[in-house]
Amino acid sequence: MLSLPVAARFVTLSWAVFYILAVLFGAPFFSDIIATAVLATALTAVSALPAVFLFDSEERAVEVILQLFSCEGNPTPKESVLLFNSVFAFLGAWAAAAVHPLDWDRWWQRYPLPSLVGCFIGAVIGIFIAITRIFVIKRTAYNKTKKR
Amino acid sequence: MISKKGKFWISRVLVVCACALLVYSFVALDITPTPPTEEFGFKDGNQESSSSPRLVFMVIDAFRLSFLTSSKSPMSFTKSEITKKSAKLFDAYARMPTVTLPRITAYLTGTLPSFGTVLTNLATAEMKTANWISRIQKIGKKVHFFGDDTWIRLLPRSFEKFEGVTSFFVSDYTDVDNNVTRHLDTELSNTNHSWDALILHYLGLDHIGHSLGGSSSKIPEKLKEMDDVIGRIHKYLKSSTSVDQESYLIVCGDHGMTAAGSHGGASPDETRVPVVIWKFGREEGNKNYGNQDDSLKQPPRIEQIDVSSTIFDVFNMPIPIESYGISLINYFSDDEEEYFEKQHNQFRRIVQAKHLAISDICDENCDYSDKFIKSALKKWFLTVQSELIGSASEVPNKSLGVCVFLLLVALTLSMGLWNLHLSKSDFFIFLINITYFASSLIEEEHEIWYYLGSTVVAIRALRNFKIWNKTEVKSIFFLAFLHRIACSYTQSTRRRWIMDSSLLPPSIFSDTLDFQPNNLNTILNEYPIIVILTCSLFWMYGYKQSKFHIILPMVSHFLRLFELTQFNEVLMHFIRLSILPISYSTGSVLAGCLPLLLAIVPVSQILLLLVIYNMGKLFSKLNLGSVEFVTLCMSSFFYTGNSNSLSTLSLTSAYVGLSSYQPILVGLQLMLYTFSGPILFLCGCNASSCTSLLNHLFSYRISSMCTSLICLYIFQNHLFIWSVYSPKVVYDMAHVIFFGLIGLL
Repeated sequence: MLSLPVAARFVTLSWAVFYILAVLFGAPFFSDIIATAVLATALTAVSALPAVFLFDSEERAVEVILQLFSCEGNPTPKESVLLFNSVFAFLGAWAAAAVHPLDWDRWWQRYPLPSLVGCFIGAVIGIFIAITRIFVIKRTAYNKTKKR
Repeated sequence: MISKKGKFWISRVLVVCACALLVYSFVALDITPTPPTEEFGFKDGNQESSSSPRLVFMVIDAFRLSFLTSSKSPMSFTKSEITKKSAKLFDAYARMPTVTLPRITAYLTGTLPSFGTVLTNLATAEMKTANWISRIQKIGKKVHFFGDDTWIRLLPRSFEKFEGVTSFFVSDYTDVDNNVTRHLDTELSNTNHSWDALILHYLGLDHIGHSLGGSSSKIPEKLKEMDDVIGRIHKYLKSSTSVDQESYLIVCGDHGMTAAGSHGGASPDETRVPVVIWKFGREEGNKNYGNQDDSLKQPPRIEQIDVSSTIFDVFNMPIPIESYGISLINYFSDDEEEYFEKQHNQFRRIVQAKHLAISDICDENCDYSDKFIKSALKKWFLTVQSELIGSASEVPNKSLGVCVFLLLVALTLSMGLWNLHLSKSDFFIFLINITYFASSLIEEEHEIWYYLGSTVVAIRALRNFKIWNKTEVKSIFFLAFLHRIACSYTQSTRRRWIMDSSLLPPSIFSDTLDFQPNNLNTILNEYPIIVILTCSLFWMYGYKQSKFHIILPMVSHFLRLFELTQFNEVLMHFIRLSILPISYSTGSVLAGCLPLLLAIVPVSQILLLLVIYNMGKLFSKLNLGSVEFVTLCMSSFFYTGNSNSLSTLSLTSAYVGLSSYQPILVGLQLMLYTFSGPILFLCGCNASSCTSLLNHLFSYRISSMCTSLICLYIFQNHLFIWSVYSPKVVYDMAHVIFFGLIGLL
C-alpha cells in the first residue's frame, strides 16, 4: 500500500489523465462535464485505485506501468491481474463508444453510459483473462517440472 | 507483368471508366423506359363549349413548409387565405434528390426522375416525357413563362412568351426576382387576356439560402415580397374571372431548405414543401376543404406528383399513362364520382401495364357513389402510388456489377504499387468499409473518422512511450490536440446537433457545471476584422513559403468585407491566375491552390485551415504510417463541415469573386472548397514526399466506392436508398476521382 500523500497524488494524476484522454477522444469540453468526470472516476476506480493497494513504492508502480507499454519485463501474478484489468477496462470504454452514432435514440446511448458499462465489463473480462492466464502458466510450469 | 507506371495509369483509367459507366447508366434509366404514349383523342369539342380554365403556377425555390406555417412567418396574406378557407394548403413530399430539376420534372410530368438527375442537374436536356405544358400547348393554349431558365431548356418550344433568369448565380437575390415580377404589369392587366397558363419561378429565396444562410434576415423580407406577389395575382384572378369560368392559382415550393440554407438531403426541412391552391370563378363555393379547424397546422399530406395530375384535370385532359399522381381535383369540385372513376381507370391501366401484384378493389361495375367503396379506393390509390414510387426508383443492376468488377481490378492494380515491406496493420484500413452497411454510420461517418483519428494518434503515442523522446511525445500530443480542435470546429452544424433536442435521449447527469458558449463559428463571424487580422498573423508565423501567398487572400477578404466588389473581382482573377506561377515556383500544384483556397473559405474557417496545415506538418515530422495518413486525411475532409449528404456542399464559396455564372470556375472553386481539408493536409506534409501514402489512400477510396456500390445493390429496397446510400456513392465517386488526380500531381 502506498503512503497516503503519494496515493492521493497518484489517484489525482491518473484521474486527470483519464479526463484529458476522454476529451481528446471526443468528449465534449464545454458541456457534459459531470458526465466526463464520472467516466474518469470510473476508470480511475477500476485501474488506479487497486494499484494504490497493490504497490509498496511509487517507483515500482511507474516501472510496471512503463513495462506495460513496452511489453517487456515480468510482473508478478498480482500485478498482471491489475494490468489486464486496467487495459481491458480502457478498451471496453473505448469500444463501447461505437453505439453513439447509431440512430436508435435509446436512453442508454447517451454519453457516458455506454463507456461506463464498457469500462466495468472490460475490467471483469480483463480479470478473468488474467486469472486464466496465470492458471495456464502455472499448469505448464508444473507439467514441465513433472516431466523432468 | 505490368510495370509500375502501367499499374498506376491503368488503375486510374479503370476508375474513370467505372464512374462514367455509373453516371451513364443512372442517367439512361430516365431516358429509356418511356413507352410510346397512346394519344387518345382530346375532347376538343368539350373544351370549346365551356370557356377554358386559366392557371397561374408559381414556384418559389426552396420554399419549405415552415416558411409558410410557422407563427413567425411574414406571409400574412396567404396564411389568412388558408385559415379563411379560401385556399387549400397541402403538405407535399419532395422526394430525393431535393434539387430543382427533378422536382420540377415531378410537378410537370407526374413521374419521379431517378437519382441520376442530381448529376445532370446542371446540364438540362429537353424533356421527352409527357407533361402538361406541352399538352396544353398542343391543344392551342398559350403558356407564358418567367423565371428559372431551366424550364426553357426543358421545354424549348412550348412557351409563347418567356424570360429566363439564371439559376446558378446564387449571390444575386434581388434582380433575379425583379426580372420576373416586372412582367406581371403586362401579364396581369385586365384588358390583355393573352395567356391560358402563366408560370412563374422565383429563385431569390434559394439564392439567399445558398449565399447568406438559412437564418439570414433577408429571408423574411423575401417571403413578404413573395406574399405581395401572391396577393397581386390573387386580386387579378379574383376580379378577372367571370362566373362561368374557372381560374386556379397554385403556389408551391420545389424543395425545402435546411437550417444552414442549403438543400439536397432528406431531412424534413428539405423534403416538406407547401402547395397552396386557390380556385376562382365557377363553383367557387363548392369546395371540399374538409372540416378541420387547423388547416394551417395539419395540412393533408400529398406527393409532388399529385399536383401534375391535378393540373391535367384542371384542363380536362387525359392523364398520361406514365404519370402516377393522385389528382387533388376532388378538393375543388363536387363531382366526386367522376373523380373516382377517372383516377380508378388511370391506376387500373398502370397496374395492368406494369404488371403490379396489386389486386383491384372492384371490377368493371363499380358503384362510385358508395361511401365504403370511396374510402377503400382512396386507400387503394395510396397503395398503388407507393408501389409505383418504389418501383420507379430502380437501380441499374448490371452496370453496377460491371462497375464493381472494374473497380476491383483497379484495386488490385493499385495495391500492387504498395511498398513491399507491408505490415498487417496497413490492411486494417479496409475494415472501415464494414461501417457502410449501416445507414446511420454513413450519416455520421465524420464521427467514425474523428474517433479513429484520436485512436491512431493514441496508439502511436503508446508505441513511442518506451523511447520517451520528449520532443516526439510533445509533437504527438500537439497533433492529438489539433485534431480535437479541428473536430469540434463545425460540430454545431451537424445533423444531430441541430435536431430537436426532445428527440434525443435525455441527459443522465445534471448539467449545472456546463457553460454554453455560442459556438465558435458564430463568434468568429461576429468580429470578422479582428479574426482576419489574427488569422493572417498566425498564418504568417506558421507558413514558411512566400508571405505573399497569405497577404493577397487576406486583402481579398477585407475587400469583400467593405463591399468593394469590383476591386475584389480583379484581385480574385489575379489570385486565380497566380495558381500556375506559384505551383511552378513551389513545385506543387496544391501549394499553388492555397491562395485561392484561402480567399474563398468563410472568414471563420481561415484558422481551421491553418490547424489542418499544421497537422500535415506534424504528420510528416513524426513520420507516421499509412493507416495514420488515411485516417487523418479523411478526418480533414470532414473538419470543414462536409458529410455524406449533398446539402452540406457549400455553394457560397463556389461563387466568391464571380459576378456571373462561369461553370468551370464555379466547379473549380466548389471542388477546392469541398476538398480544402485534404488539400491543406497534403500541403502541410508536402505531397510529393508521400506518394506511396497517397497510393494507399487511393486504394482505400477504390475499395470504399466498391463497397458503397455493393451496398446500393443489397439495399435497393431500403427506405434510405435515395437519401443515404446514393449520395454516399456520389461522394465516393468524387473522392476516388479527386485522390486519383492528386496522385498525378
